[in-house]
Amino acid sequence: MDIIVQLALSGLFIGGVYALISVGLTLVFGVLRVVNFAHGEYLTIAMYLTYFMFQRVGIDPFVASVAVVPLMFGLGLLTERLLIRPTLEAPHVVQVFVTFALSLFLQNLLLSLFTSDFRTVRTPYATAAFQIGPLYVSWLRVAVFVVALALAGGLAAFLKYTYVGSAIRATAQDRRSARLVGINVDRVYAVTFALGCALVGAAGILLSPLFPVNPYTGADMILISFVIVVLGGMGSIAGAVTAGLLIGLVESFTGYFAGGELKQLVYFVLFMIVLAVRPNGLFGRKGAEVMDVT
Amino acid sequence: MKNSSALRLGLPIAGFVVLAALPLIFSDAFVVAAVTLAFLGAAASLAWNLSGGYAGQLSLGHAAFYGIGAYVSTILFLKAGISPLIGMWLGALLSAVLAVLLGAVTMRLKGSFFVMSTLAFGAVVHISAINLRDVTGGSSGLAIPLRPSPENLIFAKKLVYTYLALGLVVLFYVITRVIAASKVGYALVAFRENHDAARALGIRTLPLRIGVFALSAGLVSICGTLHAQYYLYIDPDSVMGLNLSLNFALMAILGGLGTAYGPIVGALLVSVVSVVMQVYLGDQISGLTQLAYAVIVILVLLAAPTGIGPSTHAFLKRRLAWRS
Amino acid sequence: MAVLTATGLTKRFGGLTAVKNVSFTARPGEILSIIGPNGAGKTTVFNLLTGFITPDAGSVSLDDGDLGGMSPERRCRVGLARTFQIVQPFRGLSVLDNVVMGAMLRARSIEMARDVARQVLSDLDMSALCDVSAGQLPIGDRKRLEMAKVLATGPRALLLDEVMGGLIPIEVKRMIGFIQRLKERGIAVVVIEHHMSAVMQLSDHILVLQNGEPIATGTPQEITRNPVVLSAYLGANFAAAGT
Repeated sequence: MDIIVQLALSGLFIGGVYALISVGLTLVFGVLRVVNFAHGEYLTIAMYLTYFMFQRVGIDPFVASVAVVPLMFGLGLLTERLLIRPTLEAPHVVQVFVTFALSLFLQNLLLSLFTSDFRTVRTPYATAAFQIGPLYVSWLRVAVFVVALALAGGLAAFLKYTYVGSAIRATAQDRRSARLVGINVDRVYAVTFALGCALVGAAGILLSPLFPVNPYTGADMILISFVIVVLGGMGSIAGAVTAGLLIGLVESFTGYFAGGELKQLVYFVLFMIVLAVRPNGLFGRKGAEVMDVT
Repeated sequence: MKNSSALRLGLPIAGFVVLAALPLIFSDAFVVAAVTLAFLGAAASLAWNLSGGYAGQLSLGHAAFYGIGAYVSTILFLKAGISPLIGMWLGALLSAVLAVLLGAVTMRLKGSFFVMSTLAFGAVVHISAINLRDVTGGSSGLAIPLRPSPENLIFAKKLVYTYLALGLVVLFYVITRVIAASKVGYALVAFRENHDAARALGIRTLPLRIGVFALSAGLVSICGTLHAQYYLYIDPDSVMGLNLSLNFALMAILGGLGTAYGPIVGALLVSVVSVVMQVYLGDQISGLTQLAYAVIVILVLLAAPTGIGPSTHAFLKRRLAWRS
Repeated sequence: MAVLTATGLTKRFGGLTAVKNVSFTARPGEILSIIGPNGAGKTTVFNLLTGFITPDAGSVSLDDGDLGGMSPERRCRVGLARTFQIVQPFRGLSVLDNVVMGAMLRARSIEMARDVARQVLSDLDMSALCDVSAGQLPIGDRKRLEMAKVLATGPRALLLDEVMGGLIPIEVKRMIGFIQRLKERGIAVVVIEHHMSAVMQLSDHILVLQNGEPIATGTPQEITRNPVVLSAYLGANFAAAGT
């Protein structure tokens, strides 16, 4: 029984981070209708930045976020301007491939710069834990979980209560109408994309004390994100969070009982089942993902 | 009218003659190997293009079918002594059947969702191949002993493979042209261009879409068998990896999606770029070649989104129109 | 050529009754126009006829063959075709190829489809535009292309959804001529239209809808004198002021 609870807690904690990673992806899709296949690489970049700030300058990851998050936001703006905007009207195939190529580019750039060695941020508080009955709970993981969900909640609040947030939601619903009421859609696209990168960057910062980073870390995580985003419903923040927690739990349990590569197999099979049975996911709007077939 | 159809036949024939001459002109083993690889890639990409280009069904999991072709013929050969000439068809059949099942589930999905479903499918097959160690040899792969004979589809002279691959290219090219000029081809294009409009004109696209997806899978599978016979060694990463799927699609995209010559042009382009980069960049810094490759892809995509072929065609059309 | 019959068509969307008890008969070689103020349910009727939505009550039949349950593609195949108000060309293809897509339905090969397509384009005075890319056409030509595509499918009954929309007077006149020629082919034509002059010139019968319900039916002359119709369009005061 204890092991079940331990696994569940562990699953929820990591699920929170998965949720944060996926929230950025789903936001970008909801507004720009583009799946950013390079989303994972921004996670990796943020983790490297955090690592070097810790290693070279001795700044704690949580403190480093003050610099890293805005940097990721800026990187997102740059990417959107150079690669996404020119392809918004291009054939779908080109959009997919441009972000895929970007992903390969970034992975190999990191590989060339930093080699494939794993880097780990070893903070002094990483192992600190407290006890509830027979269970050990890591302070760090709790903190990460809380921050991740707080950020996701913050995003939801931002979208609901601010002007920019409303502009984003309007553009997601109908870009033409948004233009007609005076919303600068190009700027919304830029901000949304940058926000997506900033969020996944924040997730990377949170993961830094917990996991090592190498050029492929992001790519490994992104597969889970796709499953989460589809399960939760493309474009739904609540969906991404719910599905993120769910997938975290699934991963925790299958990892324990099945191990290693089979874990990935479970995701993909789950993914295909979701796509086959309910492609609009738990909370997504029906119609974005299916078409009527003859 | 007669002039243009002579051109439509003449140009491809001339092109194939040039391709056939390449391995004879450059007798350097390295170049011949690169040419063989290019032909193999072109054939696989042509097969991919039937579904990905004409019907617009962007599959990034096609390496699964390539790998199935390679593994089925190899396993049957190693364990049951069945000639790859037969094993090839069994592999193609299995691929086609899987494609039909996959298609039945995913045909409803739009754009990126379909892409993701094919990615997932490709990953499932890849991981399964790694894990079913008893059958597939796992990550260590399978090696085919060198016993040259036509029935074994093993040849001591590597040049034979080059021309076999070219043969596949020509065959697949012809198949593509025939389909493109038929009602099936037109119906697929209608679906790709505007599927609501296609429905409104009474075009029943679903059986055609699944059919071309299955055909595409079967033909790619045959390429996989040839790959196995050429290298005499296969493992999950080399015949089922994601980079392979990406390559099939990329060659078609760069050369011109939905055209018959596109995948061939794209394959040659990719081949030339790879060779050039290997020569000049080599293995100096790991990942540098891939990096340069990715940059080139991005630049080409931004500059010529319809592919090099159609962009050049459109460019020339405008230029020539000016003169006349 | 066939008779298109609608009987008691009714459709509700949640609490709103979009169409209620609409019936009509469109005979070969005749033009029936469905008119009514905006929101009267005209496009919903077309969607019900073509199978894009299913009625809550009522039926549609083509020559006594009930079309109930048939998908839009199937209905096109049996001979009921329709144009769209917001035209749907195959933008990347040439005008000729666009029409070939329609002609493919009945033609046995692409070559034969091309011949049919050329003929249809010639009938619509579009021969010069054959090789032009559909995406580059102005709206007037796009509307004609939409008609050409649909005509190429060889329909027995044809639904035209606001084909005059966005056309300049000379194009309207030309379109009226084309539609009149459809009568000669024995096609049963049903038209949704706001352009009153065109409606008056073309129609053999008119059905007037308001708030989803039929309020009047008759010849153009009868309709223009009908006080219920005038009231619906122009308000009760005007109608009371005399015809």
